[in-house]
Amino acid sequence: MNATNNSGLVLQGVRKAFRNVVAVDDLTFTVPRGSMFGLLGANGAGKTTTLRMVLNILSPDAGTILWNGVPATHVPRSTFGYLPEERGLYLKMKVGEELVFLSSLYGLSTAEATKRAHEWLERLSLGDAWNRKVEELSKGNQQKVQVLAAILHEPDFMLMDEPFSGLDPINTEVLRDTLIQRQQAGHTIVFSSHRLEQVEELCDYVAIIHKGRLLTTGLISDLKRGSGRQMVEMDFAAANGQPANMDAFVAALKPLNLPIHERRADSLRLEMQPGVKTDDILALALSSGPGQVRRFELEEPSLQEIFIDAVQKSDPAAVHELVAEGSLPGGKVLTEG
Amino acid sequence: MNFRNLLLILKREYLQRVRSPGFIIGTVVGILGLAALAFVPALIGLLDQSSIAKVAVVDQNDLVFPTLELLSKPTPTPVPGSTPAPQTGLSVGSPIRFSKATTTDPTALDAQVTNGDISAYLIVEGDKASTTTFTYHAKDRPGNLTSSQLSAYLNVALTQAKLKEFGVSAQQAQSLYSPPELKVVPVGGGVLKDQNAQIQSAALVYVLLILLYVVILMYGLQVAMGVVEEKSSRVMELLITAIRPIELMAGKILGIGLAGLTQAGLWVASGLVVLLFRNVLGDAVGGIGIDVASVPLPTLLSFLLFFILGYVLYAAMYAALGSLVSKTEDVNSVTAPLTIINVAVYLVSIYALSDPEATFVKILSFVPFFTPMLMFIRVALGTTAIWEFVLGVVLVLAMSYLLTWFAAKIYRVGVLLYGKRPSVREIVRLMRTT
Repeated sequence: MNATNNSGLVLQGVRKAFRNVVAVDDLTFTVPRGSMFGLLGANGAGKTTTLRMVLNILSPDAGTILWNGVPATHVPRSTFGYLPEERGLYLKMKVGEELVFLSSLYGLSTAEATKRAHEWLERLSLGDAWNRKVEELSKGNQQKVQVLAAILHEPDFMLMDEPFSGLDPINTEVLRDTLIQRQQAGHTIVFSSHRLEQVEELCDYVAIIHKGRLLTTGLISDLKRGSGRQMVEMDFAAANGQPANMDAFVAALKPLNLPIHERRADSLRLEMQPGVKTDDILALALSSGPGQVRRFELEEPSLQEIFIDAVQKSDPAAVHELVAEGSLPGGKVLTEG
Repeated sequence: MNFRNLLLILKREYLQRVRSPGFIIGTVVGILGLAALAFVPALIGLLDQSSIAKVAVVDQNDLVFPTLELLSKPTPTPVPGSTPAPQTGLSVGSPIRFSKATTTDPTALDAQVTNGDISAYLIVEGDKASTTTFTYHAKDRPGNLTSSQLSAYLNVALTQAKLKEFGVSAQQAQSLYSPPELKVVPVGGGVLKDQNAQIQSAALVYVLLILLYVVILMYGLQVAMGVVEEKSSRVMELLITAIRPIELMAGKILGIGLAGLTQAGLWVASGLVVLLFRNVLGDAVGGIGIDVASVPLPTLLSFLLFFILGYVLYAAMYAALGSLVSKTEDVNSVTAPLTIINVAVYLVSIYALSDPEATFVKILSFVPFFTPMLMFIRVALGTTAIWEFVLGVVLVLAMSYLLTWFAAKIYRVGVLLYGKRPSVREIVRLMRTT
């Protein structure tokens, strides 16, 4: 057995198959201690299976999973806080009672659990819900209770499967702040998501998995810089009361052969290619006149572009499938030919 | 196994159940049912008063009427100095009341029957007992019970009259009716079992047996339901992240069992109270009477023991089977094998009540699924050697251990299975890989 250290979560060659379907294969990545880590992948990529193996709900067919150098199976259960993808609470129990029960399973005393549950319910503006049955709450409020069930015992390591799905913008903000607060208190958080802009905003690190295999992992900033790709983003304002004439601009851009990543009525996002100068693009924008140029910016690729690029490299056919089935909300990949 | 976790689960299961409206209603209904069992016969007796057949007797020479009147009084109290009422073997609450006819005119009597003043009238003809004839006038042919009672009454009254006619003194007549003195000597010494007490305890054992059966079946099913509920509400994944499946299963079985024991305890206790109350009221209320003091302690203790053993044995299987499905409506089909075993056990038990010493009952009482009920019956009603009792208990314990271990393995893989119910082969394969 390895000695205890501060290495965080280390997965090494993890594999899991169900019947003939390989859910996760040769998965190797590290979640540094104290980081906010995004596990990215489309539906069925193996995110939930991975989280379940870390939590010892499933046991891997091969490979090792260590938390701070200790096999995950031997880590005290109270180390973990889990928000399952399929939300699950006793619907007939009262909110307060349920939170006290669930967090006492992680070793909290009844008195301490009661105190914390009251504090947190208050903080999430559910102060009056203590004596109400879970089933009487709205979906969003049930989800807040579910989140509390995962964090009330202040676990060192939180695993959250799609924590933001089903939350309205206000509650999303509340959960976001809560997660940031936990991270600042030194806890490690892994969450899976296909909401890439949320991951980009919150996480330091990501791992992108596709069909059970790791495509890439690391610091988001490293991945962006390391991609060597650059994007040009332009915003236009309507000129003389006329809407931006994007068609003419796109036609004028055609000889430059720049992939168009996003096209809206008043904005365009292009990927730079070797040999093309930003000045050329700006000149075309001014001459073909889609409208008054309000913004012209050279930036690093977004996480979504990195994700799509990674998937495309390993499995070109999959990208269109993912977009078609809606696994990639907002992933409009318009490659102009 | 972490006992703190087990206790937490147990506490939740217990409190959630005993606080549920279903539990409270079930308990109250059970208590009311028990009270009804004890008091309903008396109530029926009271209602029966209205259906008493009133028979007017035309007996000009008073040959049989005095005796008939005496016999059919609700509670025949012997008048000092007079001839005590001969024993008729008829029940106290007689459905026939004799009264002296107000007239001897058949037409007037017919009218009284038609009016409903009397149910029927009886004409006694002749001046000597030895030549008396009877005619019964009624709208309908008397029912079986009425006619057998009628002839029993007439038989006694006529014998009485004949004895008088033959010049037998009242004292001599009395001695004719005194029962023979029969002395029963136990063969090979020892104490004879009181037949009455035996019938009483058979009735009690029957009631306890039903209780055993109902509670094991009901609460076993609740275990299966509870497991499925945790699966269908998906709270299972959260639970087994925090604690081990065996702790969850054991806590659930014990918590639900304790709720069952609470309910059965309340029923038994209220049953005893009802019995005590009944005994205080005495025979006036009628119905089944059991002398509480006559209930042997070993019967009650073995009831408790087999209640616990039987429940654990079945509940472990219910938990394992319940873990294989993910929807409440599938619980019945997946637990069908246990239901069939249960019915078989019940049928054999009913037979064993009447013949606890039958060879096949003895043999089956060592088969774990049958032991709790059959061994209980044998202890309560038959003659069971200590070694037989101990062997039965040891076998059940061993089987419970094996089944719980096995059930825990199934449970471990079952709790995360969703969708189609897995085949036996799939379960075996999963158990090997996990």
